[in-house]
Amino acid sequence: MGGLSKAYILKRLGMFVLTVWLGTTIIFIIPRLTPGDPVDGMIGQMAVTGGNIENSEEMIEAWRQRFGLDKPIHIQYLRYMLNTVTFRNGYSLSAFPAEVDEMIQRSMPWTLGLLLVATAIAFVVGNAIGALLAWRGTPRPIRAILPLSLTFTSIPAFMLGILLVYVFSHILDWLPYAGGHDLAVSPGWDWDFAVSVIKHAILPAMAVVLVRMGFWALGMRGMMITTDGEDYMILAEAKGLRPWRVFWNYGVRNAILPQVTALGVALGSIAGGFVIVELIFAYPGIGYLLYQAILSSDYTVIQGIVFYVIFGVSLAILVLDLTYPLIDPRITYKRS
Amino acid sequence: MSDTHDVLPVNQPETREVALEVKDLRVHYETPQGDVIAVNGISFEVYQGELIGLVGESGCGKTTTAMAILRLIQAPGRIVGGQTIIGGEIDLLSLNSQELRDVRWKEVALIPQGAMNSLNPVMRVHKQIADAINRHEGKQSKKASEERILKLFNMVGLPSRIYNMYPHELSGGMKQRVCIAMAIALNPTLIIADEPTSALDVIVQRIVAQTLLDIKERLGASMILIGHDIGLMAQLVDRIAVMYAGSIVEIAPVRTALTDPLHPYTQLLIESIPSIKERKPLKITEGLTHDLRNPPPGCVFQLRCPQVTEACREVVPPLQELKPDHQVACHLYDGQAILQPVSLSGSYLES
Amino acid sequence: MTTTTAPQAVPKEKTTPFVRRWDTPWLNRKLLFGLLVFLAVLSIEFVGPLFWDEKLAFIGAAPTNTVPIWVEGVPGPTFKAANPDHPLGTESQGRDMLAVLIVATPRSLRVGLIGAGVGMLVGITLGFAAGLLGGWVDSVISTLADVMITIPGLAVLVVIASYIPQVEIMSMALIMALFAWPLPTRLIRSQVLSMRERGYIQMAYLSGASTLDIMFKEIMPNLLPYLAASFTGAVAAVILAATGVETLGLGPTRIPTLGMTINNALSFSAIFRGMWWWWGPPIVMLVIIFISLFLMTIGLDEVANPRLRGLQQ
Repeated sequence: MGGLSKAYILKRLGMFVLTVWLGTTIIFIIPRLTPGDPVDGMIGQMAVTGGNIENSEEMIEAWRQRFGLDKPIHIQYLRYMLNTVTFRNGYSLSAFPAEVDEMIQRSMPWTLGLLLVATAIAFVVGNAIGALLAWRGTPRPIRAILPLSLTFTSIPAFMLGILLVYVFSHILDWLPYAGGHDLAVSPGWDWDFAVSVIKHAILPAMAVVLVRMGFWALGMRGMMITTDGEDYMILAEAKGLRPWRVFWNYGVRNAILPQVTALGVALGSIAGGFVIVELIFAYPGIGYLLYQAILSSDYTVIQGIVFYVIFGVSLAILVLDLTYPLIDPRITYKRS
Repeated sequence: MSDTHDVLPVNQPETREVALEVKDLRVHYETPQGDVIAVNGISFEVYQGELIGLVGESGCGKTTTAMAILRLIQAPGRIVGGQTIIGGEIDLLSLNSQELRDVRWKEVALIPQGAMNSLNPVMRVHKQIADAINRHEGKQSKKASEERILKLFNMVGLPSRIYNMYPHELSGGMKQRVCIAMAIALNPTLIIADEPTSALDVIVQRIVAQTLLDIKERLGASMILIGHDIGLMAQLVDRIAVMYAGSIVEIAPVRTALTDPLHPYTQLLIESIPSIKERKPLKITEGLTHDLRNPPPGCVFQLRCPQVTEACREVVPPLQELKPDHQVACHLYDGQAILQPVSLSGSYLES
Repeated sequence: MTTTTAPQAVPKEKTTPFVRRWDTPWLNRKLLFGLLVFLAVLSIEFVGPLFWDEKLAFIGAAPTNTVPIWVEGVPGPTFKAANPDHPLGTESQGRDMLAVLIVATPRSLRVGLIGAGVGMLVGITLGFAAGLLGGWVDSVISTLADVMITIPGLAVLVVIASYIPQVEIMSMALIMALFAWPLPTRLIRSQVLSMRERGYIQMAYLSGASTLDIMFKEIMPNLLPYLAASFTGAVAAVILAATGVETLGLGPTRIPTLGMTINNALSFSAIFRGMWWWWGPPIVMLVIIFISLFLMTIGLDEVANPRLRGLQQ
């Protein structure tokens, strides 16, 4: 009978809105903390770092318009917020007249696809390993995995990515170095393309999966140990139920709940880490776009990407929060 | 049926069937500084259809005893020796894990202390009972299962609307009664109730206690009731066994234990029950309990006993039958045993 | 309570090798080992310059693209043979890798320690405030912390860093602190809340202890393992974030840090060219740092939560 109470939904929606609002506001404030007109400052910096400034007149005008710098600050703010949340983030500074939103939306599918799949695999496999590790009935060889996955947890994903590329691409030449797909194969819904995509996705995915797996395993193991001491486990044993049933229905079913909560909290850092992984593999997702934007001091793109990331992560957390009561029947009634 | 606890069992011991026989049970807890002796070789019997109470202060080993019978002792505790024979046939301690799992709940069931946490929070209530039934009797048809569980609810006074609920939707008393329903589902030979009313308020206590009595009378279940509230026990049990520091010091029909306690410890216990009728000073027992890792030789109670003698410090007094069905372990009554010390097989010899 | 001199009832069959004094949970293997390794890495700052010239870490200080001394021959046309003056090889900007390690490691560590330190201080203060004061103070702090945790830190850090022309160690550290405080705040707050209701705290209140007294004498000592674990975790998180931002190119450029070194390696296609001695040493060093911090964190976790100890022994 777990369900969603109105209060719960409202609270979660509220958090979502608050988070997106606060994040976007921070992005708005930062450029204005530097003295002087943000546009001048940016152009000045671009000149210093040797950016290529073509179409500077149109660009400055577009930028000024975008910011509405001729108007008082609260109007600027409102215009900014309005534009941003309706996904009108203006023009790219370096790839003018390309639009920021267009650029981002082109790269999104790559990132989303890989990230979601990798995170899901890491979560499921990691928790499975963690649960098995805590169970007394698990055979020795599987137990040996723990120190191994723990070591991987300590390594940031992108570093593992570098190592993987070095080993599998440079030394062994089994898998491609970079990119989302083989440049020789044209995008389309055919088999060749699919295979190419998968081949290119394996290493980045592995980097993320191996690293996060250990994290979930460790957490799940801890949760299973805690659950093991609960009274209902004792009663389940006393009932003479088969070990597998106790493990699954009484143990895992309860231990997984905090893990799901933790997933929500971790989404922010997973997204962040993934950005750099993309960079390593020149994977054509948002992360790589960000890197290029940084290189060319393309502030509009940078801000646009950051907004999308904040929005995306918050949305994912909202979805997670709203589906959580489906697995935990106590939630509706908690007054926390 | 009449108040069973008013009638002293007059049958000769040999003709009553034994539901559970505990022989020389020993349980130790390992610590880096040596083993703590939690249960020190106790022996007793639970007869068919009787409700025996096991009382004692905190840490005396009564819950450990219960857990040992169920073989639910967890590290660092371990069962060091003894036998627990159910239904005259099966020694629980000698079974391997598979056999043990088969026998659990069918022969021995547990009503846990504090049902607050004993029910799986993510499983509906009926499912948790169905779990046990399906495990031991094979998968039941949905209809049969539902009928049976609703009947069980009825027996313990629970409304049928709770069938599909989750544990957190029930009150404490209801949760406890779900546990009771679960325990009787397979009609086990023995039910162990570990302080089933401790966590409840007085009114609910009464209801649960009444439920237990009902079950005993309607199903003829044999029960061990563990607790430290002698007052409550007095209203429920047939016989009462008093434990101190891992040993049983007295077993008697409950009336006799209250009106004529023989062991000094039992006497102190009874005396310390505050009375609403008389005004008397609260009796505080002197002395401290001994270190359970290094029990002194002789009687376990020697350090706090107001009537301690030299013999007490040297020889462990055996549990002897002084009156019919009244056993005491105390040197004060040496030589008064109507029968020779109870032999382990339970058959008596005329002295 | 004296026992008699008679023989004990049960012989001591199994005594663990620990004598009572050494049985304290703080002396657990993971914690000690991790701490040892971490201190060793910290010492590079002092020991390193004694053996090697730090100035070799600057651009142009050494011949470019030489391979480490144990490599035979030359792996490609752009490389030079091993030079005994530069045992770990040099990279394309003319920095000696050994010098880079000696200079960059302490800088990265500093970011971590300062960032985490500041973050923890803020976190502890806010956590106690939220836990002890309750009411609207608690609501505001908790909501803020929750939101900050949700916002992907790296993204905002990137924005911040990209607007600061020259990001130096201190600025980097303080920026990181911005995102390091929410987790400790939540942790402390929940611990304080649960401790507040415990018997001994209420006893302290009843005997007239002031709030500050209670905070420092009752709550803090029990929180110590959690605080310590929080801190080591925060240090790792900050170093990770800082390295991430640097790898994207947003860090100090003149004096190397571990992250910037990786960034340089990437912009010079070091992976593709097989220059493992460029990106290898920073990664190895970072991995060592992370593993040691990780060990310390779970070691401290075990001190804080005795149930976790059981499975090992």
